[in-house]
Amino acid sequence: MMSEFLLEIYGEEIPSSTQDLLELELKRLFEELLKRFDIKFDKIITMSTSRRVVLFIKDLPKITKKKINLIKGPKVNSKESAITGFLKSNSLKDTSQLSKKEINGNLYYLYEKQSGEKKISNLLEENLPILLRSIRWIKSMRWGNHEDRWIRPIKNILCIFDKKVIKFSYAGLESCNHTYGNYYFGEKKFKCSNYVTYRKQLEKYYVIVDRLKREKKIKSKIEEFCKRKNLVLDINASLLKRTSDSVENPNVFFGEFDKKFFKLPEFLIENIVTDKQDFFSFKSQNKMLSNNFCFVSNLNNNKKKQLIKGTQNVLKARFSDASFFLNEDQKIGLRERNSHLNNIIFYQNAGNLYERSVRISLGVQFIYKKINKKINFETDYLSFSNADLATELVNEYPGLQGKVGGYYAYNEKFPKEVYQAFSDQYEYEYSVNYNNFLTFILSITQKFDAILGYFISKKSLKGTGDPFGIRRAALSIIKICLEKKIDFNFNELFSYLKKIYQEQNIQVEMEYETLYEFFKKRIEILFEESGFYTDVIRASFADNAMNPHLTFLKVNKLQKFLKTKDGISFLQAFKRLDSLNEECQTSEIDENLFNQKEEMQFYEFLCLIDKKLNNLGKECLLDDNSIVNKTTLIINNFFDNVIVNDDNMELRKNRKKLINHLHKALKKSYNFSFLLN
Amino acid sequence: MLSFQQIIDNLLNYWKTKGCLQMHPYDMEMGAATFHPATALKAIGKKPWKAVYIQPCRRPSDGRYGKNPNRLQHYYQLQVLIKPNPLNSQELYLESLRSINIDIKNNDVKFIEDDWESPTLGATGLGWEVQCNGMEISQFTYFQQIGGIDCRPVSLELTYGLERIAIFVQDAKSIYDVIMNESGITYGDIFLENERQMSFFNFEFASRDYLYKSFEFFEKNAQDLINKKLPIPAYEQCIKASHTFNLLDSRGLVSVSERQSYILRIRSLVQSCCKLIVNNDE
Repeated sequence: MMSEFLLEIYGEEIPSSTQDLLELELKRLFEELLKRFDIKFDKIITMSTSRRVVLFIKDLPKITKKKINLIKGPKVNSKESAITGFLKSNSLKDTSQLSKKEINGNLYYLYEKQSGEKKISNLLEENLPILLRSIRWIKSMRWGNHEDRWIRPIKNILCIFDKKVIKFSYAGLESCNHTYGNYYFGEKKFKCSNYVTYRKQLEKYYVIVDRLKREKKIKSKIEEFCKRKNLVLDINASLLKRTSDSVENPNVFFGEFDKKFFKLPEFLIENIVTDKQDFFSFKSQNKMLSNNFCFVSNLNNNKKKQLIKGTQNVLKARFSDASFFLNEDQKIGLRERNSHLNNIIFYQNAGNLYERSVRISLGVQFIYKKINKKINFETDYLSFSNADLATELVNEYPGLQGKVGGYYAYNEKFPKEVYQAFSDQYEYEYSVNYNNFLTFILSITQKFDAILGYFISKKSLKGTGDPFGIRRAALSIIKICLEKKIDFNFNELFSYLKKIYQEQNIQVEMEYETLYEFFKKRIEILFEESGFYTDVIRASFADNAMNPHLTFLKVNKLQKFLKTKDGISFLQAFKRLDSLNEECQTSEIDENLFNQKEEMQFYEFLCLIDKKLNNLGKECLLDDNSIVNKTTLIINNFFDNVIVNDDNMELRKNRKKLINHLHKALKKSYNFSFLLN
Repeated sequence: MLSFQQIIDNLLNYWKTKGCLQMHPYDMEMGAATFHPATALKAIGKKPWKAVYIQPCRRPSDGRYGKNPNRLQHYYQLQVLIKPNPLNSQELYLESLRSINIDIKNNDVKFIEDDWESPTLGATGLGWEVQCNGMEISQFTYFQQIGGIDCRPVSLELTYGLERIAIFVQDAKSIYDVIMNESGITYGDIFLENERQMSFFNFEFASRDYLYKSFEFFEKNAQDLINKKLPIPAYEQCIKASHTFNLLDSRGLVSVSERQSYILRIRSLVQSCCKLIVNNDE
């Protein structure tokens, strides 16, 4: 006979962001537990609401299977003490309880340990508290005086197996066979001994435990409303999940806000309605924002009027606040506002935001020039990319920086390319279809300047967090360069901006090396995530340049090359070169000391490859298959025929110089030494 | 209808019947009642503590020259701190709402995830923003750390936004229409002009040079006092530095990026104060 297992942990409001993670984690731990004890199970079902997480297993046996474990003992001819020790550790009296087995020509004692049948209920009792304590939390908390953790304080643990309570303690609570209905409907306590009654009782007491059912209920109410009012709602999946996770008994309420607030920009209204309030907003058939909105609550319809009035008031208050800022902002234009940036410190000892906006404008123009792109508008517009940082709206809604600047620039009739770039410059990455090139260049320039400013002010980067957002900024720059194929050397931008900082009387003590190492680390992270090997990435940094696009091409070529026959042969040859490579004081090679033809061949090739690598430009050594194969051949010929460590110290030194010279030359393309470990 | 004064009385009385000691406002400018030593310094260490008090708070950048019906740069918070947190913390809180005529059966009271953090205090907690029909009325937090020190045991912190609660309870259109007591005097009669004038100060006239200099001065004072192992006056200097930073912020003198540096400077001082206090307790 099989039995049901039901676990419900009930407590204070569990945030939506952690409900499904908790379900997954519980499921994982139960699967591990059941597999460890070789217990057959069909399926583990998990569910959660704002106040409970549930785990259900339909068919579990009542007892575990008998099991025989074979334990290998000492050799039969071992010392007496070793045999006695083995007997003792297994609570055995003498060797008659052991069998013997020959393994690899030696005779060993073997103990066939039988583990008896065990009641699953006992096993669960012993293991459940351990299991709950081993949950891997992303976020959790303690409460009161104990050390057990959960997402929020828990109040009840229902745990039933085979209609009986599995008794254990966790977080100061004893498990039991009862639980509670919806908190907002009196939190009715009820007993249950199986899953069917449990579900029935929950429904009776206003709890829909299944997330999909809750979402479906919300969705159907919204769709019905849209149909009736001829409106459109592209249901935002994460908002739907968030709202359905915030209740146990979803009801949807519809309200309207005053149309006078349409004077606010649409992005601001949507930010307030959706992000700040978790309400749904609607659009008309012609895609204009509607003044209808809806929200989800636990309460039933008989409280409708009061709820809608309350929420309309809240929206009104928020919109009034936003209107206040908008009115204040519109008293002066972006041009005048830009001068206010003079009063805002960028970073301590790194000047003010006006100086930053000048650098950004010049930086954008510098990149355009370097990559041979033409600017099709008055460059003067670029000086206002940061003007919105002095606005009241951004001060109140920092997350809308950029969007606000774009909006004001649009109002002041800036070219579309410019206001769109202002608006989108802070995005982390851009979709494939997004194609305003100015946005990409503005975005990478302002982020690069933010990183420079940080290092100028703070000197170094400590800790693993990113309170100033510069790690994220660097990742964003790299991503944009890769995805939009922007072939640009950031060391040039570094030198250029450094010069401007100095012209602005800002002391720059940082060296390129600091920045290079910082970017290298971020490139490594991103490339590793894309499936490239760390050694391959590191080998590709050889030329000290900071061009994410080119580095990506190099890494890609190297990783592919190493999987080819030529690649494998080349690496073997390079290994020979590397093993005898020593740093030489002088690289002057004396041709008169050559006494074998392979030395001359090596030298002639060295001159050729040296020249080639010095003039590579944007090409890569691996682009020319013939030269790569010739390198392999020359190295192998040399080592097959020439004794490097000759007794004649002059000859030896000269040969070492040859090796070192080629090693150094190759390093201009890739640092192959990273691939040898 | 409950007046502003009655709301305060009812909440204070409710928590006093639950064993809380009524403390009084701290005589310094602060952005939140959490800064009051009855919370910030009592939530660390092992000794049990239960307190309730009103704290006038100043958040200069929230001023609106008295023109916005819902935003103030000076307002009142009612604060409860209970260590260790009671097992029925949520029930106690909801019961306290009933004492001011807010019932969860008739109102949509929601606990919205809000992992609270006071960056300057180096304090973190898990809990919720409590919304009543969409309006935030309280902050409900289980403290996990103060000044970078783990709270053992954990304290419950409840912060009631008194003006917002009054707007809701009285169904007022504006904070300035809130009735203060049975005489009919309104919040606006008392505070409107104050809001207007203080907004001018906060946004336009607070001296830039004085603010920069005084921040440095308070920071240095705090460090000197920490070196002399006097964490309580040192902590007071941190409160002053924090308020000065808030003014710098409202004057728009600090960029988003540099804000973080100021916050970290205050936090590091508060952490030193808390460490000294914990060491003294032990």
